[in-house]
Amino acid sequence: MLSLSEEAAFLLRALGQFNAPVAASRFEKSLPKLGPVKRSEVRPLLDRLLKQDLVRIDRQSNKVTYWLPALEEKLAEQLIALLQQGPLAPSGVEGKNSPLGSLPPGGRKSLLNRLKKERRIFEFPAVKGTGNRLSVIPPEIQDYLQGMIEGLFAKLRPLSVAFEEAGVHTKEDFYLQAHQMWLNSLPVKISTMPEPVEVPSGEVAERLILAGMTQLDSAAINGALVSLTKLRNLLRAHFPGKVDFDGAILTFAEQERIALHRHVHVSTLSQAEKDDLVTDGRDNYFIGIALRV
Amino acid sequence: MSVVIRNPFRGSVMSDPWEAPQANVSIVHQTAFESCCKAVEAVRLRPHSTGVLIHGEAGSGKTHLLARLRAHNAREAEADGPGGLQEAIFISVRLHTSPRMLWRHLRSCLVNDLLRPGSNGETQLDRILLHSLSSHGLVDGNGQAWLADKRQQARHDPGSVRELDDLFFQLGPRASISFNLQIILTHLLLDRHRGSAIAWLRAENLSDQALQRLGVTADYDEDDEPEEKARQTVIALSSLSGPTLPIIYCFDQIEALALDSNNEDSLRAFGRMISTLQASTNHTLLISSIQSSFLTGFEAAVGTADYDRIREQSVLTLNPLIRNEAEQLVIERMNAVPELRELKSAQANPLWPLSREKVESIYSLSSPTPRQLIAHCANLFEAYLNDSLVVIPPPPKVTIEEFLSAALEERRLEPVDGERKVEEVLAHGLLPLLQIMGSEWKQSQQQVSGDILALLEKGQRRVAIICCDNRPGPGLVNKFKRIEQLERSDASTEFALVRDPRQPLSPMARRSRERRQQLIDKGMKWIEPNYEGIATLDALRRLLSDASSGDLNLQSETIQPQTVNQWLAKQLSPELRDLIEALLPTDSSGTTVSSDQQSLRESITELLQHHYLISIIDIAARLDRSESEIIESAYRLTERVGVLGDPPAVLFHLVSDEQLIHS
Repeated sequence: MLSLSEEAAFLLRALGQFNAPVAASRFEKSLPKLGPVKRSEVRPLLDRLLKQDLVRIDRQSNKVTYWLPALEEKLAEQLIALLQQGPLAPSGVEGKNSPLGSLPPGGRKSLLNRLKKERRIFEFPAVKGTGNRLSVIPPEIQDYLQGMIEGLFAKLRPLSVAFEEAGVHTKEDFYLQAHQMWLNSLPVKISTMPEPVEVPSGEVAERLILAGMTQLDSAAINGALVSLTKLRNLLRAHFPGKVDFDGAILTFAEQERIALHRHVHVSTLSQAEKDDLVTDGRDNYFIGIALRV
Repeated sequence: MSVVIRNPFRGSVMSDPWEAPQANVSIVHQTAFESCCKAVEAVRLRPHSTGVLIHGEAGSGKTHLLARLRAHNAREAEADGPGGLQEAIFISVRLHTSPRMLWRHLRSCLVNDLLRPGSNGETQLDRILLHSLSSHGLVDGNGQAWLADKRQQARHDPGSVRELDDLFFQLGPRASISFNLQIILTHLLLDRHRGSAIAWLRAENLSDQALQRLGVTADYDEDDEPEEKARQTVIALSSLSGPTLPIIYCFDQIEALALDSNNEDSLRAFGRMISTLQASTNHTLLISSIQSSFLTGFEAAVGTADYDRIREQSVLTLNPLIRNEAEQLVIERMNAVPELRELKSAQANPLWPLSREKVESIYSLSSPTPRQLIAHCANLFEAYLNDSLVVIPPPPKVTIEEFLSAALEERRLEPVDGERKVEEVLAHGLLPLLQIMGSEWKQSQQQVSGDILALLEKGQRRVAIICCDNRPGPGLVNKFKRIEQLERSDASTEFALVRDPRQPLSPMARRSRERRQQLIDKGMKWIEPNYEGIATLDALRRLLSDASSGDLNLQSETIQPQTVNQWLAKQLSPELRDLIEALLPTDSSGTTVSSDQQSLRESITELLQHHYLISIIDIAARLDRSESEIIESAYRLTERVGVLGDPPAVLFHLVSDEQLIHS
């Protein structure tokens, strides 16, 4: 079971005061001298928290930088908000003034990879121009075909080459051929079906749930209630289906290490709102999860 | 021989933290309890008021935890003895009120609890005043003996008490105790003019004679900013707290503030109140308790700054019970019945006469709250029967409709007075009633003056409802003047002026009547609604408040507000429909009462309030009207006036069943 000492909780709270990754030396200096953690204990403790996935780290030559997963999540939300205005080249989200500018390069890369894996953002070749683009909307094959068809038309017309001579009898044939040609030419493999995810269970699932709870609210380690809707969204990459997530939570609750809180006025909820909650199929709809302390 | 035992699991709902907790199981919510104790310690240690937020499911034991904290404080102080740790002042506030009247409601609850006598007859107000006097070195030795002596002297000498005058002087402007409040506190400490002094503290209407007797100056602008005045009184009284005697405010039923759909404004007003209390006092603990399912919406509505103050000290989660806690709770509950404890002592099974398997069968549904567990065990206990144990049978089962009907009636029979005023009933109950009726009248989003208790709109029409319950005199005249100004600044709004039907405007109140007449001539509506309608509306809003806070239970089931709403919609009494018809314009043109008829009706009511029984000939002579006019008016006042004889010969003052019960 994940249990955090008072010292660890103190460090997490202290790290939460920074709204950007902080160098280890600066972080150590920011801690009160008479606080519960001695400076010499800071790095070993942070390393422990790192193993529990409660802090993030970047090591570059002599410089070590720390930040909280919660900060990463905040930056991710800012990035998504920016991409909602339109696709951007990867270089456009890495600059100093971009949402991810405060993260070190390693952290930036790992965050982008995670967001892509969770299918919260997508990277695909630019429809017009060169290079790749990041977007919150999955790529539309139609956009590419349109460009290719127009290009082909533009080439074939001056040469007076008929479609039949090119082995294309119908417009559908033309689309199929163009599609195939385009797929073969792509630098990035695009799959229209998400890759099957192995749903974690047992201790792995519990660790993920606890880490997610503390990521959403550092007070969760002291028993604060965490919204199950927010937790579901955070862990969607690990538990993609409703049944997977609900099952993992209910199994964990059986051990009496966490408590689930029901919604008392269920009849006031819409079906969509109910779906966001965790249900046990016995008309209990759970809104929150709390660590028993 | 068999023993007859009462079911130790019946009567499980604790709705008031002043009740003595039935069985304390230390392991249940122990962390939360310890955190509350630490918070009390924190406000004793440093001059900084702070907040604790408690949340849990309905029936998770929030009120029980507060009762446990109160009892613990009392026990601790008792164990410490005189001169030791003092029992903190405890104030319970159930927020079944309108957000527009939050401070007035808080003042009312504060006054009620401050005047609550302890086991030795000493009120919390006596304690806090004696404590202030002692801590300023104005009273030496035994404070109670000093007080008894002062009370004895006060019977012969109506003057003030030098020590109290010194105290108020020393507290200075920081405490902002007004001159009038100083006089009232002196009266209460000396046990003089108790009734009038309490009424003054509650801002009830007092006659000029009563004010004169108290020696306070009349505040004729009293309704200008009634919330502001209530805020000042609350803060002034709270400033009497100190490091050795802090005040604990427990705010319950926060959900009831948002009975209408405008939740956010209501909760924001609560957040602002907590922040103000925290900033204006030094040794006050502010405990707020809500249901878990309400937590996210609550946080979003009150805003970060106020939410941080509400939970500054800690956020306490009351979780459903784990098996071990459940077992301990069941055992303790049974041990609280001496006969049962004796029978149990001979048994190997600590849960006897219940079996662990049956008790734990509730876990097949999910971890229970204490309330669910107790209701489950109540059923198990009643199913148990053998030669040596006979359980008193359970109350007959009732349907939800029967239960709601009884609950509404029980609340309706409680008189609307004292803490609950007509203004509060209308401000809190009117919008939910309109929603239940499916009315198109909605609350306007426009900012309104403090005099307006509700501004309702439907299409292009807008009606401002204003309560005019002030005692006749300059205060009421000033209010009428302000209403006139309001009308001038917004001619498109219609005005409905409401007065408690039990306080008709006396013919002696000439200036007030003249002013009112001017308003009526401008087209404003003067309404003295049926008291039955007001009492039913009061019952309705309190029933809905209990439901929205998860405090309405039938067996172990929490009755949902929607169920209550649907039931009420089917059961809407004619009194409530009449009330709405009286307040709001309808499409059909109703009968209009002329000002002359209105005046005559008030005069008859006024006469009967003093003479109770009077012949029609006599009334006609006194009021200089014809007998037929008197009879016609009397028949329009069926709820206040009785008519005897055929043809009618005598009128008498009619008293309702509720008034008789409570008189």
